[in-house]
Amino acid sequence: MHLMRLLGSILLLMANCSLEAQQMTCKVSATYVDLPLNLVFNDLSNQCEVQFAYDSYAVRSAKITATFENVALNLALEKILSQHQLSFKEISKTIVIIPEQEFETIAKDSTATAVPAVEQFLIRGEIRSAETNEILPFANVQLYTTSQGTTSNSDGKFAFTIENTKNDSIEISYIGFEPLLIAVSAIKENTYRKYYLEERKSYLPSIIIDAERIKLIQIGPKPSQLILDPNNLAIAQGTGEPDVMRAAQLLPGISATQESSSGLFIRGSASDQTLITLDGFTLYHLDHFFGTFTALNTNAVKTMRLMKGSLEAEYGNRIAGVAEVIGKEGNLKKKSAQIDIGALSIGGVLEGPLDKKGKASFILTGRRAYTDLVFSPTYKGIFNTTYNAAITTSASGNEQTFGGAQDPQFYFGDANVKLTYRPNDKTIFNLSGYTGKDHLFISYADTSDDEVINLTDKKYLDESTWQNAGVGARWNTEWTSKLSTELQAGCSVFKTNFFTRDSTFSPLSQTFEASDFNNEQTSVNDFNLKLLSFYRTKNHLTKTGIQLNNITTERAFGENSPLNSAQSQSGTITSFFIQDEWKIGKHWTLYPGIRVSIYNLTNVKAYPEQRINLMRSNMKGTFTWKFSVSRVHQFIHRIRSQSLYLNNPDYWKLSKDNELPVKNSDQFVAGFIFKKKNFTLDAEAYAKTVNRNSTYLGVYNGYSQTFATDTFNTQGLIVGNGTALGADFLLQYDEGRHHAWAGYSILEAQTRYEELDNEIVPESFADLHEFKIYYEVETKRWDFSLLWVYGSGKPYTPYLGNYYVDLLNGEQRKIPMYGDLNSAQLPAYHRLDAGLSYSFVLGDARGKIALSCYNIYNQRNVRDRQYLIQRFGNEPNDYNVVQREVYMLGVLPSLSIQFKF
Amino acid sequence: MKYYLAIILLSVFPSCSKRFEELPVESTVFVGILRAGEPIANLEFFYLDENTGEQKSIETNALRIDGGGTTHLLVQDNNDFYFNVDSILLTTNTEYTLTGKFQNGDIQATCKTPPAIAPEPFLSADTVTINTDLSDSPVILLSWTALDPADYSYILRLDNLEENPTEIPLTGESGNFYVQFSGPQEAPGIALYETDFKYYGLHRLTVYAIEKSFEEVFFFDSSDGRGLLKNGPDNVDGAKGYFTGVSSFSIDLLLE
Repeated sequence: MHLMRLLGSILLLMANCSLEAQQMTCKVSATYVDLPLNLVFNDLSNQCEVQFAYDSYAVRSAKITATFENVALNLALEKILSQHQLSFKEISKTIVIIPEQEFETIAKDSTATAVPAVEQFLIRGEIRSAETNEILPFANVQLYTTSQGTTSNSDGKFAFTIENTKNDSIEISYIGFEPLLIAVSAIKENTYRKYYLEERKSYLPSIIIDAERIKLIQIGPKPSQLILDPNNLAIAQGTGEPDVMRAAQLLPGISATQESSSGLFIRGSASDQTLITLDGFTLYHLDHFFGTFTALNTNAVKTMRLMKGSLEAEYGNRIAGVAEVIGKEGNLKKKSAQIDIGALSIGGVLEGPLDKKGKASFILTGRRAYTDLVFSPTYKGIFNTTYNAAITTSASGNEQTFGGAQDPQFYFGDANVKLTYRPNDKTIFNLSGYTGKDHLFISYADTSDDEVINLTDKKYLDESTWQNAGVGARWNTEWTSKLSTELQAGCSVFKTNFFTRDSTFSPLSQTFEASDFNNEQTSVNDFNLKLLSFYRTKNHLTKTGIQLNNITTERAFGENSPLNSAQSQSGTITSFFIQDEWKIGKHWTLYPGIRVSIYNLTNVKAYPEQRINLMRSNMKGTFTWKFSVSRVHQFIHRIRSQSLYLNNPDYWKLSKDNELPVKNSDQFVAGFIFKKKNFTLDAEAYAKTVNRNSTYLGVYNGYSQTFATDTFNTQGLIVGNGTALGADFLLQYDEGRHHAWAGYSILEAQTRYEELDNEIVPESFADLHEFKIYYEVETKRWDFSLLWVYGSGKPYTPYLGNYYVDLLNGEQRKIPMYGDLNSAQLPAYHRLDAGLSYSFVLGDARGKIALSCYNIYNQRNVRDRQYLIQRFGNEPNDYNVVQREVYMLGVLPSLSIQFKF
Repeated sequence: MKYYLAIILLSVFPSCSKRFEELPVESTVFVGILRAGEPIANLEFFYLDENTGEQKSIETNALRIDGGGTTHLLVQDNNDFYFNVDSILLTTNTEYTLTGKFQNGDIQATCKTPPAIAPEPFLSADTVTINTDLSDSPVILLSWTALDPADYSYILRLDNLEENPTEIPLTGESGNFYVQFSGPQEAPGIALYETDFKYYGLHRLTVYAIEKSFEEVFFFDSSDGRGLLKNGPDNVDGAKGYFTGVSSFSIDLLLE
């Protein structure tokens, strides 16, 4: 019964804060003929400058016919609401609409004895979208007065033990949806129930309910957890395509100055130290267009939960954090379609129910770049930037790739599918699949005039393909109200194929002589099986499980030669874990957990890890302390290539004795959440160690300092122990149509490498200071957003000059000299992005036109500094060194259109 | 509330505020070759100016070399080179360790002078008569003490000692020695032909035994395949540069 989902007794507790009498006696004049109730509220709101709060789902079918002429507001409301068995209450400058039956209950409760009942009881249910009937994962469920609560799981289900004070309410909130308040007294104990939330739609007239509580980012119930829906960020189309990872990078503690969507750099850790899963399977390569944006189509993404450390025991094999992406399940009520025309690609969505009872649904999304057919200005801008970052033929770095003899051929595509079947309220089946591909063919020539003597002209040819695919299946069932089980199976494949050929002009033959320069094929196959069980008692929710993860990597490599035969590795990680959620009294929640992993490629077989989180909230829920201590091991690593984009791809490698050690990280987090009116401040300080961190030296390696050699050709790979010390601050402001947040991170991340004379090396991807400000305002049809990002500058390795060594044979050798690794600092990074969108209704279709501009003031942000050789003779010492700035994206406007019908 | 915030801020900020100041760009260079049988001389210790890249001499008395049971304190000469005032001769097959301090940083490097080498009894001639019509036979065959090729190789140097050398009027190529023997070789012997020489007169041929690791300086290519500058070889901890030891012998040849 939907009317039961109305505001609770908390409203009565606040009843002494009534509207000023002047507002309630405000005279209204209007004639309503069969007008939806929400529009009537809208009109009254405008006439008397009052706010209304109501359950829009409950009043969605109510229509009003009435005429008023200079009638007092309270009398007009009585007449309007009596037509639909509704009543109202003035609370804190807001008129709250309540069903009469509920009102009587509440009124009765308010006259009850002041001593609340102390019995505990369990609230169970699932949270769904009222519009599509889809489940809402990771929704917040909490007591209104104390903020004690939980989140729904990835299936939208929750169970929450509360003390039945009856004067409190349960608030259910989800990003992009209007929050729902339900009186505790209106909930029956231990009854499974579905709770429906109304989607917040800017294109439809509506009255914002309790608007300061609608947030763009949801702070999770455990330390270092944040939940966001990238579809709800108006600026998500900054680089021309919606982007899940770029949205996550707007949060403090996650670097936003990389201009890369190939992963998340969390708290000073490399991106391969963040586990990214889609519906239970691991994704190893996340980006399209050489890191420009994420391969995950936001149309397929429902929500993302981020853990910046403080991992739950369920997760392992990545030391920095987890980004758990949950795909949409599809509309369970009706079939719908969507078409997106972006600056780089065309995409579509098809979703709907698979049966008439609404038990099964599907969603299919896909997109294909048209970059190989149409060279839009956005595409050219991005491609030229990435191209100039990759080539080393020109010191100016301003090569134009289009309009010459041969334009580059590049495209990408991806597709997602998800099938969901819920035969009853207790059982769920999911099947989710993803595939994506990037392909590039480019040829370019070195005819640079930079050289004093252009001894040889060269032609370069690069052809690269990246392919990523995964499939995940999930079965979840509730055996009893206390016990449930979940089985997850996932398989993921990532393949690269890289081929380069250089042709050198021969003065003798007057032709270009071709030879293979660098060829490489890599792959990762990941199979994952996880069995979990959940057991709930009044104060405990215990999660136990076992996980089996088999990973196989392959790499074939040929330098100045054809490919060698592939080298492969295969390792298995078997993990056992148990974690409890223990409510201790009214204030404390403890999450103790332990995970033990058995790994077969090292002599040490067992890797125990402790995970302990502790939260303490005050009675009002306005201040929460949080602490966390955790240890994580990582058995697979991405070996970073020296090249930026177009050259060799990164590849993955498993830990093995005497080759690449197992990383581990200990992390301690302390922080607090403070809520005051429309503001929420989330602050965390952390300290973590990263033992046996590895980095690839690239050209810094010089001639032959071989620090580690094995069959994977990891020459130049060094291993050290690192630390990261920092703090993240997130200040949110949400009021009505205005949403804003400011994020600030301070971070010192460095690693000490024995092979580099025990040098302390700052991490190349970490800014000491990073600052982000986001603001969004929405009207009925328009959304406008601004984002400003500032980073104090990343470390880089400078070239210092030359010295000479006597060769004893009468000659001297000029030796170039780099400074210490990452010992200098690039200029500060900053940019301003803006987005503007207009939503409209066209017949049965809804449309949206979005205009965005990336880096509005065209800041020339420096990604890296390269040093190039310019030869002027045949002797070894006959060269000069020139510095080249590798720039990031300049100003980049883009336009996209979306139709949904 | 403000106290909580202050505690967190105070606990985090001080530790993060001096990141780059604490890690100055390391630009000091030590370059030295220890020659067995000679005193320590001509060692360089300098830094590269961050702005101009020029070498700027560093004056310090904190450099020393230990080896063979002796400590050699290094001082600067008038040309800013470091030497050992005691003029103690270095010995072969001895490990030497350089230690020093600069801006509170420790500098350390180790090398080992190779075993002594000397000409084997077989030397075909020390006076060579050049036949300008050229012959296919070598004019000089020289061999010397063979060292373990896994650890050592050899560098050859040929100097004409005449003040005003007279060029040999060969019809074809001449002076090939500098091309033939520009890099390290593993064989403990050479064969020299008439075309290897360019001048008449007195020559000195020096053979150096070098540590195998020193070869990387000879073979160093300053750029990768696509033109990016590569870092130079370096075996000094706490600074850049190169520190190695050699042993040698010389013979004089008279070309007529």
